[in-house]
Amino acid sequence: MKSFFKRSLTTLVLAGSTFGQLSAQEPKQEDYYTITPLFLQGDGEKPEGYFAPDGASIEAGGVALMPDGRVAVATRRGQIWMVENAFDHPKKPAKWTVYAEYLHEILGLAVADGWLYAVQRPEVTRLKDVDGDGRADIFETVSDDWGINQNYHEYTFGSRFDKDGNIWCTLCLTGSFTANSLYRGWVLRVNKDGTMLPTACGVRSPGGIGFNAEGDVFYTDNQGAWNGSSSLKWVKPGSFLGNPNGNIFFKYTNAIGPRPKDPDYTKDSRAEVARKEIATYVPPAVVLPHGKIGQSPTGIEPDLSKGKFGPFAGQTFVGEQTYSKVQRVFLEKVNGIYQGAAFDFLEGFQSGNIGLLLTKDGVMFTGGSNRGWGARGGKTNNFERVTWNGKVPFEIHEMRANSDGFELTFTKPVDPKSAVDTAFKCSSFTYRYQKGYGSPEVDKLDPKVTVTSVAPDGKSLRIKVEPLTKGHVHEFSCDGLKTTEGGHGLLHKKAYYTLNEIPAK
Amino acid sequence: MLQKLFSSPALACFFAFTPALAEPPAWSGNPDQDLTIETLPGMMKYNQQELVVGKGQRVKLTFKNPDDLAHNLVLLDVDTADKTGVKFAETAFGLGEKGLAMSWTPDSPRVLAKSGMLNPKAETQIYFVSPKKLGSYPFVCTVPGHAQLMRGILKVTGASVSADLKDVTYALYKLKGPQKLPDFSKLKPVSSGKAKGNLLSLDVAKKYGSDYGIVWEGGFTVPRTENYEFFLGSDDGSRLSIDGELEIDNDGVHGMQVKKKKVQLEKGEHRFRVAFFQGGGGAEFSLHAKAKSRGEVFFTSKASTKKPRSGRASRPPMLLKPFRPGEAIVHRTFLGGGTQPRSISVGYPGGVNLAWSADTMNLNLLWRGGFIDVAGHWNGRGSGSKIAGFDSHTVVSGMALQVLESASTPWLKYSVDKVNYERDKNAADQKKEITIGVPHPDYDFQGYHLDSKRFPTFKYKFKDIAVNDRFDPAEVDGIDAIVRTIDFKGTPAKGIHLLVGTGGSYASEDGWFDGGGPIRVKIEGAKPIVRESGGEKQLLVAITKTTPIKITYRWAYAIGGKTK
Repeated sequence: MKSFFKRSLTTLVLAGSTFGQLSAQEPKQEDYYTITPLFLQGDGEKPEGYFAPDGASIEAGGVALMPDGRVAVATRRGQIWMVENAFDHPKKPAKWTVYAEYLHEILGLAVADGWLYAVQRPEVTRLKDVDGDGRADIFETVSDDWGINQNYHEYTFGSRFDKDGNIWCTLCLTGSFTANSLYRGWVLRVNKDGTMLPTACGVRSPGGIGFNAEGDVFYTDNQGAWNGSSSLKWVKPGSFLGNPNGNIFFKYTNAIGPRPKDPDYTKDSRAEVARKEIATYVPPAVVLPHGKIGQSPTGIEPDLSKGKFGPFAGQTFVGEQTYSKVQRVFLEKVNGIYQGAAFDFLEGFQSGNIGLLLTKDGVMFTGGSNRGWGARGGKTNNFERVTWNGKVPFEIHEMRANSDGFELTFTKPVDPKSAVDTAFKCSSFTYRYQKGYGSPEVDKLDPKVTVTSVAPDGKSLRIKVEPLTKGHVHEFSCDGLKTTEGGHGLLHKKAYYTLNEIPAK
Repeated sequence: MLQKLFSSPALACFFAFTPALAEPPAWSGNPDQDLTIETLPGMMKYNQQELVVGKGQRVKLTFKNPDDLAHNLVLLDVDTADKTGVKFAETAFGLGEKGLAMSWTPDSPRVLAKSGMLNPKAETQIYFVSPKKLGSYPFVCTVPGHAQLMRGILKVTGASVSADLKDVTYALYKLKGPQKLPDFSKLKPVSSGKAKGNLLSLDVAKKYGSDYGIVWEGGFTVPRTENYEFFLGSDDGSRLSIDGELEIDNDGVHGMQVKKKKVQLEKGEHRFRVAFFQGGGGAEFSLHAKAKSRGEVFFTSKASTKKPRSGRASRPPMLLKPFRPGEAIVHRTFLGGGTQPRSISVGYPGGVNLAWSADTMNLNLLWRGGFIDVAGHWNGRGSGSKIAGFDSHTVVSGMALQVLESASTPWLKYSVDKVNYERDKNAADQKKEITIGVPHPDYDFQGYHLDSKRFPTFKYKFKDIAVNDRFDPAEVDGIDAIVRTIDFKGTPAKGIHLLVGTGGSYASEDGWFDGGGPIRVKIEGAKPIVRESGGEKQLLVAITKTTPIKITYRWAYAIGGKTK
């Protein structure tokens, strides 16, 4: 106790002397969003606020909102929990009850027609509690039309339902470099009627799959072979998504046409080059630069809250396991393919986020695990709620590509005096597209940024970027921008735009 | 609590001291050796298969029984015809009704010490003086059916473990990413003190998984001048100095690595110093010496002192428990050991367990005792679970149903296909064929329903019939069993057979077939067919009608120690 007091005091003194004036002005995440753990970890003793039953580990791999307002949480350990009072905790303490156990590493939950659908490693299963005792007693296999062997790496992630009644499943490779079970490295659609439709190939190591606000499907893929960086990829039906290992399974289906040409295993190539060589290849929609914004992207949720979760309606959120964060992504379609910008958004979660839910009422739930892959949060598992307090942070709202640069919109008016060329720093780069593991940033450029116009209301501006490079990630640091409302800078100053296509004039 | 134990004259000569269940007053709370052994719940095992003591030592052995069965521990004299003690334990079967009264411990001069029956969740102490003769003395649980797995060896080593060592101290240091041993003299220990039992143990660093160092120092008595061969093992680095001279350098980051050296030591007192560091990953340390007159002298409590590395099999078991007592547990994950990836394990109340395969739609594995150890599955990246019981047997391996055109049609083991693994087409074209599991077109797995006790009924379709496959734990003549009920809806096509067993001899006695290993099988409601195919015996039944078929799988013998 004594030493703790001493250390706190030191920290206070430091904060007071060095950062005192700054911190009075520069807002923090806590000024806008509140993260509330729905349980705390025991760590031997049972601290106050520990609401998950003793010994349980809520390694949240999937989260879904039940029709009755409970939140269902599926874990890597194979349990499904129902959380009552998830929205009111701690006013009304969260109450955790077991709904089902023990399925095989559940990484997706969806609800339809009175059934809870769980995507577990070997199959999509639907569950129902028929006798009303609070626990599921029917476990019906909806589809198990893919292979697993006994390799730990063969994860199966599942989306919620699309409008046609499909759960989209993305199947991790057998290891980092092989596909030794049927449809490893593929995206499959499993319909409520039990049919399965192979939909895309080229997956390496997914961390989640979900929709944008338009209902198009995206999944996150992790840095590794044929992935220079982690990224958010658009699952265009019929596409090849970059990793050729699973291409051997074209033997079993003609659902997406003939096997695409494999990329050249001997070459240090680029996504731009692969697009010319492989007809069905679709490059990552939004690169999440490895080691910069995160290291392990996971769950995907669109913001359908119409502004109840802050000013980002229609945008897409992406969980991040290693950095214990949630990122924000703005997507646009240019020349028929998706691209867009990634921004830092929420940080400070207690473990590595995997499962992600954002309700239509604007409440976010996320949680996960640091098992096997460490996470900054430091705890072994977490399940946390994020709420917005109604105050608008000063952020880049949207970022669109132009023929000669970008148009940025803002959540609050930019002070035109601050919107000068030197307010921006830009670098652009891409990655190797190769069979080796990951890639450094390559083909680096330092483009020149010129502010060409600022809207009279200060809510948008245009910049010219020279050169603008097709296929490059354009990384911006907007350190100089200030808002007229309070005079402070952006809450998150970085933006990473993946320029697959340059729009025509 | 003093219990009259041995009056055998043979033993009286062997021991100067009669083993007892209470501490002899003369020891005044100071046994030379204070050891603990436990049962592993549901696993029919002691938690240690080897105990090490010095010769002629006063030993206090604490015996704990967290299991649900009653057990005992009987220490036996060496017998070259029965090194493990299993044969001795089998003689306990012969005690018959007297067995329980005698704690299943036959009256024999081989018995050196015994615990008596120890009830579930109980604990006892056994006091004995270790034999003077070096050797490997078996200890077993003689409760019927236990000794095959529940046994170990008490290793009697030359010198007393602690008698030659004195005033051993330790100092623990926190290090930052060590790659080799630091100069400890420039560092401040986070803790220091007397080494427990004068032994070198990593337990002092219990709190830390990585990045620490320990320095032990102490005195070492050499009764006569002779050569000592020291064995210094460590993961990561270590160094041994004697009387200020560096004798063994085992520094650096590495796995468990033992280095040895012979050192001539003069009669009298010597000083030793051992420095050890742990970077990341596994941590292990061992030090012992051999000398002609002293035998083996251990500086570490056992052969080594070790902290399990996370992700390794050596981690403590994590046993699944039913949500409520009396309920079954259903668990899906890999089990390894020839089971299929879509294994569904079920643990029933009473300790009978099965693995049913959603790949073959058939029963696969039976075992009894503890259900599942999920430590491998729930730690690290998840290497799969292990069965936590005993008497396991693969009762059947192969797809559940098949239409047999003739009695010699081979049975399909598993639905597989071969696919060319084409990679690196342009350079070193690695074309290899791999075999993968593929869904069988005749089968459609439909999941399972749980009843009020959470017993599953597995459901699948085969061609035109819908199949329910259900299991209920049972006892047959006091022996653990499981009753399988299969019913069919629809009209079975001609020639459909069910594969009930593989790999047994299927010799039959009183209606029970030998299902291989400890398993016996009985079929009711259909005519059993025994055939040989693909180099193995198979037990089949023809599906001719839709009435349920009842199959009882039981173990060959009862397990003693139940305390119902």
